[in-house]
Amino acid sequence: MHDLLRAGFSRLWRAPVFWLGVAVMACCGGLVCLNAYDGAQRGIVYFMGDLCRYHCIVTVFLPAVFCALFLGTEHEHGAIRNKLIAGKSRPAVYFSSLILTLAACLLMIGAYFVPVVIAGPFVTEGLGIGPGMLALVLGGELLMAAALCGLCTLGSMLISRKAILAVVLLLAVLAGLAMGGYLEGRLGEPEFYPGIMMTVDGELVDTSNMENPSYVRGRAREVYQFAADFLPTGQAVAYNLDMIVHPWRMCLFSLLILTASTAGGLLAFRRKDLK
Amino acid sequence: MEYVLQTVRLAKRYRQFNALDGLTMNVPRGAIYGLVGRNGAGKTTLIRLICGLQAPTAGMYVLYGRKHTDKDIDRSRRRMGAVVETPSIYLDMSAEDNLKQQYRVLGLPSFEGIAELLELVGLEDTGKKKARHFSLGMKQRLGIAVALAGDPDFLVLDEPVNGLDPQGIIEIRELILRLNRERQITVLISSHILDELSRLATHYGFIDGGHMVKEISAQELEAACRKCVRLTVTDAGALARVLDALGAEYKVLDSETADVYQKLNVSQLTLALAAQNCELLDIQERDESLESYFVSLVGGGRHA
Repeated sequence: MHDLLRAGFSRLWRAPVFWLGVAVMACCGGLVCLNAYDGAQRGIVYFMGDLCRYHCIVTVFLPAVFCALFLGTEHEHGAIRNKLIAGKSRPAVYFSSLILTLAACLLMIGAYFVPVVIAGPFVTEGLGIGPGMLALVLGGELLMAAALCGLCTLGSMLISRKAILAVVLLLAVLAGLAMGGYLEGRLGEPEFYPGIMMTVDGELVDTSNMENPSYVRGRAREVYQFAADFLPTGQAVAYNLDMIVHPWRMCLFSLLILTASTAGGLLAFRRKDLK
Repeated sequence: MEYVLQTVRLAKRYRQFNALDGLTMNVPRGAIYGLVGRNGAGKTTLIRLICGLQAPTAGMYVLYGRKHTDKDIDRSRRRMGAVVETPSIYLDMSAEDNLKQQYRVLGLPSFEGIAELLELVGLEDTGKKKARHFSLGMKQRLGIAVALAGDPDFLVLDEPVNGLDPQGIIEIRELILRLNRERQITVLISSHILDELSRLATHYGFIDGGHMVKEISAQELEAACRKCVRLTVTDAGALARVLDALGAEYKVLDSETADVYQKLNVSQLTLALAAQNCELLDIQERDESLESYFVSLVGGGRHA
């Protein structure tokens, strides 16, 4: 596998999609700092903890785009055949692709943090959360990205046509984000209406004790929360909106998705008929 | 005879379709083995199996003495190079970079030999030009160069001249012949361009409907396709006596016909036969090509 990684990284350094991802993430980091600076001018307080969360929505697209364009080329150009004909085992080909995707996404996320770490301390007022919690959130974000890398690698090893792969991965991420947004939106509904509401007749009514019918209760809430914690895109929305309820559980789910998708993908790839 | 590749009742089934149906073949070391068959006969499927891209449904193959189920079959596969259907190259890289990439995949310690490989396939002057801007023939030659990285001694080429112009076909043919003669590389070529294959192959395997119809060496095929005069007479025994007396090489086919493998003086023959109370009924000059031999083996009606 060492040879495959050597070949893969050599290709990665010259891959436009990788450098584009790095540039986009670095720009995101810069924009977030600029926004925090602008906010500070208007008296809005930002913390480093906030800046460390804002990349998650963009991050979910990284594995999908990278796998579609970088790994998809392996199938389309037939390079994956060269590896197998050269005597490399299928597990080695699969693992090297996964490691490459993980490394590329990690580096792209790293590019986001370069401006944040450099400029962040000047435009924020401290961490905002404890260092332990910050480390847990950062670890969770990376694990969420890793879970998505596992799923996207699985897709790219099983779907041979690059165009179909790109469509499938991007649609899956968009659908996942929509689902995550919906779940977090429902979970974020207040249990009671806040304060005073104006009716259509213009009357002011005290609603502070009135139950919100959109609030998800009981068993349904558990299911919604489970889905939001389980889905990597649900996690991305939660991190982004600072709606983290079960940080450890989210990390565990990400690890589970990464392991299961790799095991399943490996099994399916071993049986796949390549053309 | 030592064989590089042997398949035994190899089968591959895609849902309800038998792409390979108990195919048995033997590729001798040092041969240029021409795999001949119609579109859909199973040539590419066979190549995909032996390259490890797909697994057989039944049967087995032995590559350099190792069964395909052996754990160390990868070691045998390292001795082969292949171009399956389209050349497997990165279109966004130059010829040299493509070879460097394959050298890395193979784990070769240095890039020594790349210049020689590029020269061998005639791509030494392509410089930084990306493979996407190459002609079809250049891509095909680059694909062969990539397959040759690692110095294999068994090269598998699937339809290597498909879509090439006449000049490209000649270049690929000369390259294959050089590889076989100068580097002693065993070559397995699938093609349905029979005329082209007949200029290269030392052995043939005719496949149809997923199974081997006939395996034959080029010498045997030449003998089978020799120019001859087919004579139809009233008594083949009398004809044999006359031909013996004339010292002619011949083969009696039945009680009335025989093939004679040399030019004959028809007047002399007719007189000699008349003396034996035998009439000469028909004379046909026969010149069987690889194409007609293939058609006679698998039947016409569809395209080869």
